[in-house]
Amino acid sequence: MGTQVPIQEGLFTWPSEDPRLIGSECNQCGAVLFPAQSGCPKCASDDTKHRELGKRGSLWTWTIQGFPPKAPPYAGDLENFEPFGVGYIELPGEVKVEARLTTADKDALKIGMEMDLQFLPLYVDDDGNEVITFAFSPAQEQ
Amino acid sequence: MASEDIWILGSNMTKFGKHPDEDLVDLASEAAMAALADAGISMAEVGIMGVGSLMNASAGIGQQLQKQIGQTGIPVYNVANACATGATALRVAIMAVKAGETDVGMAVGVEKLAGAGLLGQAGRGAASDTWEPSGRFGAVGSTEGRIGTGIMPGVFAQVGMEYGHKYGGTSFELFAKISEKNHAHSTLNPLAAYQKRFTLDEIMNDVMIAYPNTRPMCSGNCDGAAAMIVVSDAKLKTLSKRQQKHAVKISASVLTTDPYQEACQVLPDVNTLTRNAAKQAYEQAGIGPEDLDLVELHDCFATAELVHYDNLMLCEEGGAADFFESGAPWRDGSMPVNVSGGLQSKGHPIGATGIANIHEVAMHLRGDAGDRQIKGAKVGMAHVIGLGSACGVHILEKSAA
Ligand SMILES: [Zn+2]
Repeated sequence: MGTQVPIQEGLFTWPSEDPRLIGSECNQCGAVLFPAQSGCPKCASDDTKHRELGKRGSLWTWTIQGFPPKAPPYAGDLENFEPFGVGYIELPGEVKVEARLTTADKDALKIGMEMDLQFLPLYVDDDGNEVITFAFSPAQEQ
Repeated sequence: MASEDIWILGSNMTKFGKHPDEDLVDLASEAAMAALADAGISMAEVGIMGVGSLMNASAGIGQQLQKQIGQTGIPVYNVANACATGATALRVAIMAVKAGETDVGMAVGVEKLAGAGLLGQAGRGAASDTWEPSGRFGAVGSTEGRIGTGIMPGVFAQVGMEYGHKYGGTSFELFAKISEKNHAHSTLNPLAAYQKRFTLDEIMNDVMIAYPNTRPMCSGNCDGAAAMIVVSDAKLKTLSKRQQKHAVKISASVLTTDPYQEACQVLPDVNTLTRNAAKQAYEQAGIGPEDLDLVELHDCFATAELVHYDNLMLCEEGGAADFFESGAPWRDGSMPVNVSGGLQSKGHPIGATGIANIHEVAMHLRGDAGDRQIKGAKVGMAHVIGLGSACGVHILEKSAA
């Protein structure tokens, strides 16, 4: 068994005690973006800094992906494909983030519900490493 | 804005569907030659060509087409703009005529996608029209794609869910009924890829692509081409009475992209740019939504049609569900929408779509829409949106002559 690796460097601070998504904040206008980028689409400045984002947000919209996405770029397991939840999580005062959801049960998802950041294995790469991505799950206490 | 009127002098679309024996250039030639014949002019009079074929954007389809229909040495602009590719090709021709570079422009859109299934289907199907950001936002795109999001059916499903949450009144069944309408409309359109009427049960019990859109609620990949000849007002005045009577006025021609919105980098916001385009188009044309006799809008998914009722201001803000339930967008309703069958049933050969929907409106204004004619139609609107995003809105008016 290999080790665990992130799906992409620079996307989140995992592994750590309290892993967060890494966004950027514009020093000129305050716009927050995810993933981090060097330029600002809101005011066109190039003066931005990294910002670790909040880990709780609310479900802004969602669907259930019922078919295997195009691969590449899709990296998940196509042979054992199972429908999965996808949605936008509104991180209050920051930004809306698109993410996988930990549930694919349409009755378990309600727009506006509280959601928490999670990290989970997406697939095992050719070197036997478990590739970790971020996702959101319904918060324990609603 | 004081600008000379631009007119559609000729227009054509091929049958949408499977054309296994014709390649891209064959299809484009068929539509282009038929549009010239419809206009009553020859290739020698055309001063510019805008050509769109999204899946073959770098193949120089415009120049290949010239080798079939006439290499007159005129400028050719091969354009690509996602699902708004056809409308963008037409905009190029319109702008050249407006700029006074020529009096006659041609726009052609063509695509071959048959065999790729419905737009929502896996693998090949989804590949044909997936929103794939790159370059500056490459990090977003590659990450999203790898975790399985940012895909057309998912995006539009979420757009519909969000609208339903914000304003209420929507349900899986309501979205399915929108699809039922468009499939029913297409039974009158011999150019549609599918002409099969589905029952509501059949639609709701079909394969779920991305909740709440099942397979018949997604647009169908198919082959097809559409072409249009546009002329200046000055040119039209030199033409025959028959041609003048036949011409359809382009009262508004608008293309927009996303203004900055929180999170628009990751979320294709199909609403804001459509609303902006509609606003600009109504202003340009000097009319309001109440003046429209029919609308062809970009129903790439049933959920998309619902939100565009609102974005195009066909209903009160937040009132799209009530608007549909009132029966308004059925062909015998007060505001017929997608009487062609729309993308769900007429089909969606991407490059052709943005011209074909304008063609549909033009045929109704001319009284040439056959069995599906909306009687007495004088003003109509055509809308397309490509993710990424680009939105085209055109308003047409029947010739006064
Ligand atoms: Zn800024």
